[in-house]
Amino acid sequence: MLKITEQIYLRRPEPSDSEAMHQYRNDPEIAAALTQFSKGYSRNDLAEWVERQRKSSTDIVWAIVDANDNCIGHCGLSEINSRNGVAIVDICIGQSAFSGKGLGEAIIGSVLDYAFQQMNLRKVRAKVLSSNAIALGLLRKIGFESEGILREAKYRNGQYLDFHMLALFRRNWGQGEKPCPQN
Amino acid sequence: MLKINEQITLRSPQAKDTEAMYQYRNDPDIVTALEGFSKGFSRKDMLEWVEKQQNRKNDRIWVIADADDQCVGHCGLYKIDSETGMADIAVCIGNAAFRKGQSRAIMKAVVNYAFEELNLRKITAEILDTNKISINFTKKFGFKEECVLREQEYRNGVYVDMHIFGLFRCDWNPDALRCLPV
Repeated sequence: MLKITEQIYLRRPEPSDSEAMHQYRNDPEIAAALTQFSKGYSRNDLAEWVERQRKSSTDIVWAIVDANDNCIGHCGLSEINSRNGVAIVDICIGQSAFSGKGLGEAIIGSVLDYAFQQMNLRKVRAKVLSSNAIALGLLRKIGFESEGILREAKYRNGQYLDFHMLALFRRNWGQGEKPCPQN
Repeated sequence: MLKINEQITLRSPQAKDTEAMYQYRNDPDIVTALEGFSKGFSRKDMLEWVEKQQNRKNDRIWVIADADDQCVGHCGLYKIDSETGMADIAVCIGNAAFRKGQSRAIMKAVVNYAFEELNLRKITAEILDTNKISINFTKKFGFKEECVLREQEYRNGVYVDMHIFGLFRCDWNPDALRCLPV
């Protein structure tokens, strides 16, 4: 469990989170910002998703929970490649009451700490739709740098959208790489 | 089956191709150029790979066969996505004698298949920075560079950049349906 604030924690998802996920993952505004195509989710789809993530060796998902342990969103690392030391960060705050309060920045910060200081990754990437200006601004503020634009790589609401590819290296995050302790 | 010219045909992989594949897919020069990590392949690995191709939904793979129907490499379209009309292209010519003379013809056949048969609208190619020959060839072919994923793959003790190229159908064939105006 990772503590973000007194009110917000990250913990591993449970099948019982599927009810909360069912609400926000079927919200059209949230679906529009996410990178995956969605034909909508049943509760069973989400319970299965939680179970798949639990067993995945390339993804880590955390449920974002409030002080009452209610799931208000999820975040995680996907496409983890330990040999290359690279993964992709994902975040989805499902309850609008919690967005716009600096929570996204704090959560991504915790996920980056985990990736760099616990998992020994060296690069974390992010893929963001060009329509998602809030996420782009947030990631740039944190220190992510552009690696290019994958043109017209997603189809949404009758038009093709670009994907912004961003990345942050461990050496540019926090205290950077720590040297081996001297004996 | 796509007949490209008198020397080269693209066809489905067969069990008899495993020995040729076993040779070139364990060739260090080829392994270095390919994306992804390889711990080496056994003949059984290659046979399983051939058998798996028949069941792949989102990939279209061909063996590159010479005039005697011997496998000299493979190529294909990967991660075919009908929602966006996109796929990744990859060409691996195991026999160096064919690399110089036939790369362009093979690439052209696969690109044509993607646009004219599968009705895709964009093809992407991911190439390691160390593979300068492929980068130059892909640019000359008409692909445009869209991204450089820095220090993305670990190879021979160093982290190597990954280039992502894109080719739109309307840039490849001016007579094709125009891309939607932005």
